[in-house]
Amino acid sequence: MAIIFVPSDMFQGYYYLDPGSGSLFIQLAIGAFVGGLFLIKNYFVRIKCFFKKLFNNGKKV
Amino acid sequence: MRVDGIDTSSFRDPSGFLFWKDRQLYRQVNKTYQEEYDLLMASGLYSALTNAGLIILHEEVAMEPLCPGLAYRIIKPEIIPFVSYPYEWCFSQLKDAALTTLAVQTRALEHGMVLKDCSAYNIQFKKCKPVFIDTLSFERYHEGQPWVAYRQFCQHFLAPLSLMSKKDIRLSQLLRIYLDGIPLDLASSLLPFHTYLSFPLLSHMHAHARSQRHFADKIVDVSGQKMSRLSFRGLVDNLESAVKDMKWQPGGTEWATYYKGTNYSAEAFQRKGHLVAEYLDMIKPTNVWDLGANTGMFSCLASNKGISTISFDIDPAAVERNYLECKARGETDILPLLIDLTNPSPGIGWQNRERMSLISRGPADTVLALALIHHLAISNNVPLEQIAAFFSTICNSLIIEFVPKSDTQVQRLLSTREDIFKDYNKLTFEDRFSRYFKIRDSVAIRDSERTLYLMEKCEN
Repeated sequence: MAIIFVPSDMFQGYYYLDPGSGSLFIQLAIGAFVGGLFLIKNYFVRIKCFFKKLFNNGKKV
Repeated sequence: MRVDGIDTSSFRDPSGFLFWKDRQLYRQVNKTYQEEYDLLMASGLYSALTNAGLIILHEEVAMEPLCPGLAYRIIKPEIIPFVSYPYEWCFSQLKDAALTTLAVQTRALEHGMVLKDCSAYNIQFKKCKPVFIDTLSFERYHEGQPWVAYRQFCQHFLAPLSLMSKKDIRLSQLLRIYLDGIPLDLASSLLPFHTYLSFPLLSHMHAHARSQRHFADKIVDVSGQKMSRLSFRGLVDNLESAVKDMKWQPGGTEWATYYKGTNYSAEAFQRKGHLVAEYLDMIKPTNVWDLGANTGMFSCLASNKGISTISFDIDPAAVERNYLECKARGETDILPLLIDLTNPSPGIGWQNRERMSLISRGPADTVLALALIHHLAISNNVPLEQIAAFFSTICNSLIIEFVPKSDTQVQRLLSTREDIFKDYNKLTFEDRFSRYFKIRDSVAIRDSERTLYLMEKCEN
């Protein structure tokens, strides 16, 4: 199986391994979805920490 | 192999290479990697990683480079006493190696860098903990770039872990065939259908494999495709969750009773432990290989004396339990590894020299071979002469237990087959081993029919 990859300006790194075009494209798709989830998760953790702190009389959580 | 010159495993990355000189290991950093190396050191990433115990320490040294025209720096990395490979790790070792790699990646991004490769061979176990060993695996992060090492992470970690967890633990041995990780189309085809219902496996394994197949042999222009930093962090976070969710427990067994199938009385078992400890005190080895260690009960006798011990077993469940128990009690002198002694790890990879064979990583100062000889001689039909010859290639001294035919464990092995082992007796055992070893001491283990020997390899 050969994967031919055309580098562009965005891929400025000097890659000694073939990242694989199929891997790059699926990564972009997954990244778009899980990036949003990551944002929500982070907010949720912050809210959880805020309430924990509140109920622990300001002790560090 | 500690022969002066470039290390046989170090040739792929043009950023530099490992080399040996006077039995010391060095790494040459090439001029092409100057900017990235300086960023690693100046950005605070190296300090952050070393403080967290995630990367191996190194010091810059002033010495003549091996290739002066290419060299920017020479660094001397801390030595890993025993190099092990992913196909020798149990499930939790591979899982911890994956999590260490992702932790390194997360910290790298915080310092404006990324991992440019994600090989499982970049991890070694130091004091029973995984540590990242490739100092030259980092490069500057450019806003919008996807993770170039994503494919490799999936092949080296996610594919074997999901196969071990969801299909069969023995599939870890595919890593011995596929040095650049398990091909995703193969992993996808082997995984059970219910894994399509798990988002991480659906996306990183099945859809990833389909995408690779779709883009195979296609010329693709990826210009204009960008991945935000948030997406990058989300991807790494998602992979981390996927790895953390992977579980494996030996099916149909209760770990608490996993190795109760012994014919020892409690007293005989304790007596055997005392004898082994006494022998260790007599010879004071610098390191020990415990072959057929089960869950590492006798390895502890050596590690408790501060002796660096590799605890080998063929059973993934035994190695898993040994590793988890070592982790739980903060053990630093035992490294549990999965090895089939009848087919130990060979030299593999480019020129058969990229990954070392088990034998070439020896010899050990002392080998423990307790309750092992009957498995080699009777289950695997290896003549006693050959067993003795093999042990003489891998150790300087040997603590070995002879298990006679009258022992119930041997009777069990012979119960379903013809007894063709006329020479399997104590006298022949002593005769064959005396050709390679000097028997320094032997003692019958009370309340059993077994005998314990302390042997030292004959000069020449």
